[in-house]
Amino acid sequence: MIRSDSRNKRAAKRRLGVIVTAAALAFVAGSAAGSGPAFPRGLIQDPPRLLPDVTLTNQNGSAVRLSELRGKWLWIFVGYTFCPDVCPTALADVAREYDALGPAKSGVRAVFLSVDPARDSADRLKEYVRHFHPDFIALTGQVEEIDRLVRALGARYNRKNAESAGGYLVDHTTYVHVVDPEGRLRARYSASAEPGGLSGDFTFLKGEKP
Amino acid sequence: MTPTQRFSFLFGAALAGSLAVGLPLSWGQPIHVESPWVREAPPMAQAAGVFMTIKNASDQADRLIRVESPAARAVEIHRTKIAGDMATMERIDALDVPANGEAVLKPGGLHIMLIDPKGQVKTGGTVPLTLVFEKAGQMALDVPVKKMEGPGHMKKPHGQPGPMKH
Repeated sequence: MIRSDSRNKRAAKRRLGVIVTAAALAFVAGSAAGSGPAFPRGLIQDPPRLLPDVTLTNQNGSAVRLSELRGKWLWIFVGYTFCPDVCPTALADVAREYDALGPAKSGVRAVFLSVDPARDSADRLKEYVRHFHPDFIALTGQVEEIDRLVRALGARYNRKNAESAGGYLVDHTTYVHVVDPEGRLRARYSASAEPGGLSGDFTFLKGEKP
Repeated sequence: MTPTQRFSFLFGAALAGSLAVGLPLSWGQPIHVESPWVREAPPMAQAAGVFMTIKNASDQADRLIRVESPAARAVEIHRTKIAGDMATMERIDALDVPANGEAVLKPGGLHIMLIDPKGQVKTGGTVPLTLVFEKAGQMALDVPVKKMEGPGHMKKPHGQPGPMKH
């Protein structure tokens, strides 16, 4: 059962009727005992969705198959470096959530997936992600492969011409997508709108064995 | 030079100095800027955002029509919008500063965008900016570079629960 301290009661009341499906709530009621306030604050992908084994390029310029990253949880943020506002805000938030995991962060790999391979060279991506956290990695690659992964994640982006000295701009969704060590999409978060959500749910997601 | 002459000279120089630099930028002007900052950017960043609050104490609306800086290849005014779950950015030609009101440039909304900064935009440094207003004219600023602190301020997409308050 849900632990009976008042904080959880209040949180549960507030949460009822919000997003989480009835099934997810029932699940929480059954599993949160003993593991602290582990409500799913993100949107849970139920059932988990196996992601396509796309081949991308990492921040060192090496080809990487998505399946090679199995074994750790992935926190994937979709964006591009020519993005002075939303992406740095979100990545700074992801860095904070990652550090909030403490020792458990060794089980997580945070990934910046650039949907702007034309401008985001490996060198640029390397400098970019390192700025937010030395452990972060970046992926980009062929547009077809990027698009397959983006679609499977439930993310979207749209390159548009803008009368800007910087050239085109890219509209994009702002989620952090959580992938389990078996390569399955499990949840998504709006990191910046949900302080503590990503790290807070980590225990919950790890405990869930569908 | 007698002491009186010296005083007159210094006074004149000070007056000229304040007319040339001080007065047009500060006291008595309808427009002033509060808490300007540039977000620290990675070493090879092609863009950096500048945020501030522009206050207009006059009964006349004004517009920020241009921003210049020797520290970047180009400077533009942009707006981030969160539409549903999509973040979009667009360039805007000019920014209205309402009479007796303000324009707020902050993460997740309006910002001044430095395009291709020359050298790294790093905490501890400053970026020289000139704001050009339609009525109030030019205003020069040295804007400090800072890291963004605390949780983000992005508007949450629809269908997401609010943050848990303890």
